[in-house]
Amino acid sequence: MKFAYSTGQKPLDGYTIKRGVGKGGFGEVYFALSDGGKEVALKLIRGQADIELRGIRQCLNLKHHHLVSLYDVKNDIHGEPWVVMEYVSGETLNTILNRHPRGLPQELIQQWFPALCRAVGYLHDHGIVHRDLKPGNIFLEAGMLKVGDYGLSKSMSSSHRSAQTQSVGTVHYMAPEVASGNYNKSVDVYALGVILYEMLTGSIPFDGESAQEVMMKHLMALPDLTKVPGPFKSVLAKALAKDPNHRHATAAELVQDVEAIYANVAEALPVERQRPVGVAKEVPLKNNTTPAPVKPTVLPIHASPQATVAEPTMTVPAASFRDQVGELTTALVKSTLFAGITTTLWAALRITDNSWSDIGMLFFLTLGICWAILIPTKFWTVIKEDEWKRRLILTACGALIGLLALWLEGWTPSIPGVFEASNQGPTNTLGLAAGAGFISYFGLTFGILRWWKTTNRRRSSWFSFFPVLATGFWALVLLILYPTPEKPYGAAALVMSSMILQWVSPWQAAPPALPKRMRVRRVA
Amino acid sequence: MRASLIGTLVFIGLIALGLRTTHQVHTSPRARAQDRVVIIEQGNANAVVSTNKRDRKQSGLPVWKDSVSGEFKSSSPEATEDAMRVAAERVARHLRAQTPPVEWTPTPEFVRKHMVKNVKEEQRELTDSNAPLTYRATVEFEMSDSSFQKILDEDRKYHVEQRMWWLARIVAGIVLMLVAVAGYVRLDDVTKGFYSIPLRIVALIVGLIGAAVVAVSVF
Repeated sequence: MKFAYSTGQKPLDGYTIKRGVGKGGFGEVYFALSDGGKEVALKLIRGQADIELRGIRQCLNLKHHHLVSLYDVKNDIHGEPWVVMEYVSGETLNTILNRHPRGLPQELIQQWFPALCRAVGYLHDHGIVHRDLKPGNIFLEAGMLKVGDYGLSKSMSSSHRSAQTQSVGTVHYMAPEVASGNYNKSVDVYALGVILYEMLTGSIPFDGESAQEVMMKHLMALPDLTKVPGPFKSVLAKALAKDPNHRHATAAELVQDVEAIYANVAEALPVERQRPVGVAKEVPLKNNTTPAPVKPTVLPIHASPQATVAEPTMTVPAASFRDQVGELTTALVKSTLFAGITTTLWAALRITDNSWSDIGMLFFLTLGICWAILIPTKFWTVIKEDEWKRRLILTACGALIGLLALWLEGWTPSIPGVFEASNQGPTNTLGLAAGAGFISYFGLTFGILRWWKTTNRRRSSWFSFFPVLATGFWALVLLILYPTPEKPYGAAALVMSSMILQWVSPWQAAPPALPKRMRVRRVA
Repeated sequence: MRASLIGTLVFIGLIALGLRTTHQVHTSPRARAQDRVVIIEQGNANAVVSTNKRDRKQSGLPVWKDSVSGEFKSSSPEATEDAMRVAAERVARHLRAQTPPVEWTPTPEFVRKHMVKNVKEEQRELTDSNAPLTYRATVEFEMSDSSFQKILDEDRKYHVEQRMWWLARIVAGIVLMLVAVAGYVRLDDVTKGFYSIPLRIVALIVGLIGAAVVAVSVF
């Protein structure tokens, strides 16, 4: 992404650009530092600057802890307008939703959606309609939700979630009445309904090949609520009503309904789970009234099983490609270090005769196994993927490790008539039979075990002995195929790798699972 | 075809391949010395060569044998040691002449332990009556099937160690490149972009050093 200004430049007096963080139809956003040391975001407004600035100036004095603060509007020496605003360093809701393709955990929805509604309600109370509510404009910093990009005029865009917009919002979150040009804050209520739907299910209610198709669905089609947990169906049916008069009148009304659902669930939850750790108590909405009595319900979690996110099998990618690369390279470097440490320990225990070739064999095999597993599993971010495909890929990786072991044992690759090894003699005395043994041994140990669970960010604990024992078991059972069982480097390297992979792979604690009582009621 | 079916077939194939070869490998884990072709050295009256194991068994002949003498030395142990050194050099030359050549150089200790059959010592008295006696040792050694097998094993270890050092350089280069990328990403995040340009420069330098190490090792 090419930005107009680079690190170190001072397009605006008093602020030094540190890096570009976003770009779109409105202009560019930079992370910058004031001369006094304050971290800020600088938004360079391009296009319809006058219209944009008129909206922004209305919002300059708004103060809400769930809104990204706007500090000032300034012009640079070229006369281009810049908005100085709060720098939010966290992820966008869009990124988090991408990580949860089947819906967010209920705890997070319970925490974030009311905060979102309160921020939007605050804007409405001050006569401002956001008009471009979408996950890409909602930020999460240290668990605190913040709504940004308000006060700007919008245009339509056909891309989903994070698309940059210029006039009336992203088409996937756009209320039907926008097409008529006659709309008010109910468009934000509609967008909140779409976001709630997406938080619950991981998908948007209306999608299509083109903007026109999506718009037509917003105008004509009814949302598919079969994927939505039962208690939310009526709330979403109302929030996504085609007629703005049939929707919740305010964001406060919408949040009341949602909180009432969670209040009923909370009665069944232990006290410590009613408010997630680190979540500040919400300030009630100005127009908040006592929630209307709602029939006690139990969340049918089974409608969205991934919503609990307690499954250790779920794979969660890092926040961005850059982070993924950072995590992968760090894991590869760490695995080298750990392979060295474990091999040194092995040598210190004098399990083998400690010749350089033995120690080297063990080190390079361990390192090769770690890398061969870390690299493919890092890119397996889809929750439900055919296990057999993964097994086949890992088997192929294992076969390559078998070739590495064979080569380290002294074998030189040679294809008669195509590529003849320069030395066919002493170093090639292992023969093809031993080669097949190495390949089948590592191919099978790679294919039988579910290594991707060992590197899963959401594994049940940072380190577990179970994968180590499972690896040890299969490594020993299959040792019958190993060409030199008197020197079981293959088995040792596999066991060491299963430990190292856990040590070096990022781990993220899963939210606590629903209490047993809830699960029993759900099944009933 | 479904991945599960392909996977099952691959697994069965790997197991069958492994089991089929296991017996073969365990009974004959290394090709034996007698499988190699030994070049008959011309012009050396002491060299006796037999490439056929059955012939050797019947005749009791070794694969190859020779004898060498060292220099005159002032003591008997020194003379023996010198003869062993010369013998080791002779064996090394012989091994280099093989097709393919055996690159490992046997040590005098190896020759003494595995190849020596007889050591003859001769004394020489100088004309000067006050001068001390000098000694010279002649070593008769032979390369049997077992000693040749040991040489092949040592040669394999030698090649394996060479490969490992080569691989160590490659891995070091790759790790340097990985450190450059990981270090840049992590430090840039920690410093929130304040030092992006210096960090990029450092990462580039470290990465280039790593690439150079890899390139030098490979080419």
